[in-house]
Amino acid sequence: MPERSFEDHGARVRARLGDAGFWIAIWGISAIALVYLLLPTLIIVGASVTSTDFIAFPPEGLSLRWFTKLWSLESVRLAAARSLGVALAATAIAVVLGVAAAFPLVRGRFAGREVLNTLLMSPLVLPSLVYGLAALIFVSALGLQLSIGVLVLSHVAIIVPYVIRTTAASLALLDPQLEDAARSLGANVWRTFLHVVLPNLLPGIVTGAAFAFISSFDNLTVSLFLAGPRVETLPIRLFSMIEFDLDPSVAAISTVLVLITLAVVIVAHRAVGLTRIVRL
Amino acid sequence: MDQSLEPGDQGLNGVAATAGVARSARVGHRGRVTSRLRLWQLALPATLFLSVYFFAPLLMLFWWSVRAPEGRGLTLGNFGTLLSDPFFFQTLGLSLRLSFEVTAVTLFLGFPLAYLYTKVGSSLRLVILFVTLLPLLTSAVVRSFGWIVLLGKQGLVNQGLMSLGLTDSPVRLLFSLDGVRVALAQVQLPFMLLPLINALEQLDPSLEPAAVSLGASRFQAVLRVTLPLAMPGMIAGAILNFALTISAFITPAMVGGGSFIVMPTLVYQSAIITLQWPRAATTALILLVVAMAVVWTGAAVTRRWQYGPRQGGANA
Repeated sequence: MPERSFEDHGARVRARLGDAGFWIAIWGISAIALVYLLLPTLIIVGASVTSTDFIAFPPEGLSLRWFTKLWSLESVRLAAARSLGVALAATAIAVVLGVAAAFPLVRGRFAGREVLNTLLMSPLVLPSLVYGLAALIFVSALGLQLSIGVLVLSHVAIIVPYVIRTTAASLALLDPQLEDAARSLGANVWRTFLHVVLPNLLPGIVTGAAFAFISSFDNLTVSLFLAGPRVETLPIRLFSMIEFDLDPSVAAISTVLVLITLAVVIVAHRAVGLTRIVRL
Repeated sequence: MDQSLEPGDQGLNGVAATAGVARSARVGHRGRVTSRLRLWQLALPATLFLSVYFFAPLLMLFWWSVRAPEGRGLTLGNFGTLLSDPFFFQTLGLSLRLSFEVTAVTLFLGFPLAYLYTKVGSSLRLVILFVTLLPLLTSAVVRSFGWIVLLGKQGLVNQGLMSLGLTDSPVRLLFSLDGVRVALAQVQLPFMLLPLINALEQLDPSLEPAAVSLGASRFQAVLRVTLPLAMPGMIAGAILNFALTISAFITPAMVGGGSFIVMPTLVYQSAIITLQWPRAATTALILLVVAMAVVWTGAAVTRRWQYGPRQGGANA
């Protein structure tokens, strides 16, 4: 009998040690994955504050001169303004189309709702390279010139699913009877929409719009096909600077883009919380 | 009748009726913003827009790949030319291999982190989500640029390798396949993490302790209980990763330089540089078919995994 409990004890110790090994492996690989995920971003931000004339990491001397230099680069300023305009216009159109489409997808009771859902979500699945080429061929077959308008519409096509998805998620949580209550208390359709429906959907719409905006603002693949030589967006400018005249101002632009992305993540977190975004 | 009411509407309707509102019959179901219009009509603008600006271009792409060069007939010549070209097959093979490797790496790094996510408190969860979402939403150009800085001759990776004594002179990582593997896996890792976190979070948290109390080690419990249950999520993540990696254009172009060619590079070159649109369209379609084939295979495997082995193993 005493022998057996001794064996039990040994087994328990071995199991403990085995468990410790397991957790060390889980934490170790996780730590590597987290550093790996953050590394390129940290490097860019670090390299942007260097005082040297070349890209250096770790930076040598601290200076913000590459950020101030950005203002004097006219091509960068123009490209940034253009990207901002394209992203704002595309997001506005996508919000109108997407919010409206979310209603039938959530509340509809008609045949083919699932098919409609799949159709409206398909831009998320199609590789943007394939879409860029298809849109280029389509636009030129119609005899249209490549222009900002063409670029905006192509961005709308790829970002509209984000708005639909996040709005639909918010709408699914909204009790339809709230609207009946507002109506029976005398509010008309538009008042009901403005004061009851919209405030409840706002977190979803804001999150979808933020994701849509950043996807359009950062898009390179579709823009490469559809921007044409005269319409240079910021990602295209950045792409060609990295290829042809690489200096720390590239890191400064990239840092600004990272900060904009950071703002989007924070907006999404404030609106619906990161833990809920994962489930979308 | 479209005025028919759901059971829940009657109470409110009753209030309106007793108040003597003449239109009371129309308040209720039809009074909702969302039911005043026929509901499906609200999807019309988005559907029309995508039909014209998304599906029509795709049909056009297909049309360009099969139409005869000058006549009006149809031809499979474009496919024939490409599929008989050994260089094309080499490129396709490289793309497939690269996508498998990247998917394997993201699965290996992603599973432990997603598993850890389900075991830690809310603040650490937030950190993990933040570190996942920030790169996910950061421009691929910016991330690839980060890797260009990291992988260069004087870059941090080479500095690290040399200070560890693993190599005497800088290793060529930038503009090489190895560098692209490393960079692509980082770019794709968030797309693996999100489905994995989703899948692991939905598992019953008491299953693992149950296995442990029955004598399994923690490792055995994860291997025999958690991993099989999370398999659909893992397959979903793997499919997503594979499809995104095989069609990734920016990272291979930037980090790989011109040192090798993958399928997306081929599409871009024929479309923009040599202006052979029929060839570009055909290449893009083959790329799409390969990606879809992987997605469908994965979906079929998931269904078998969920419904097959346990219930219908014998008659499958």
